[in-house]
Amino acid sequence: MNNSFCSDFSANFFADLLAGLIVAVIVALWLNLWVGKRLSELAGSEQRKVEKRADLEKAIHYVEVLKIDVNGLLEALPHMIEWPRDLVDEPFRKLEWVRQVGIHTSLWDILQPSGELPKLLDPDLLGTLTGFYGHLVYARRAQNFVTASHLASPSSVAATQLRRSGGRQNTQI
Amino acid sequence: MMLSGLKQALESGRDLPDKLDLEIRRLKVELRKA
Repeated sequence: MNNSFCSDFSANFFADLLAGLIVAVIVALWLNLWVGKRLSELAGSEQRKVEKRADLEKAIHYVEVLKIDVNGLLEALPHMIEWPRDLVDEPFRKLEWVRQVGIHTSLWDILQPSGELPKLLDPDLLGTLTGFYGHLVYARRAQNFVTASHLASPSSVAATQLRRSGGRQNTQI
Repeated sequence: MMLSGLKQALESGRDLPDKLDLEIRRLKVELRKA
């Protein structure tokens, strides 16, 4: 009887131990997976936060730089538009004046093709900026066209002669 | 052509400084929240 008790006890003990070990291993594996997943989620969310902060800081920097550029252009535009009345009868000097008008859109020319602005800025602001710089780009193209066409035409030769003679002749450009 | 482009730019850019200021404020608020 004693022998039977010992063998039953040891059989039960080892069976329970084995079952306990299996359950413990399963629970440990599940915990390991769960904790790992949570940790990677936390790391991902932290990474996203860092990226968002970096994007916002970049956007603020861009808008501040654009503000300086826009203010400078808005200050200069009335002087660019003001047509010097004394040049009406002097086509060559008028052409020189057109050539000297500095229409600077270099900041926009750099920022706009990068494709970053639509991700960072308010669409309404982006639309206004695109309109503003678009008109300036149009004006610059017109300026280049006028200058180039005058330089290429035969009248530009006459204009050069006029400049050499100190503007004494009345040449049509 | 050039002058009309410049005039249109001046017209469309009048409210730009205010809009840029507003955007800077909005972005700074978002940055504080982030």
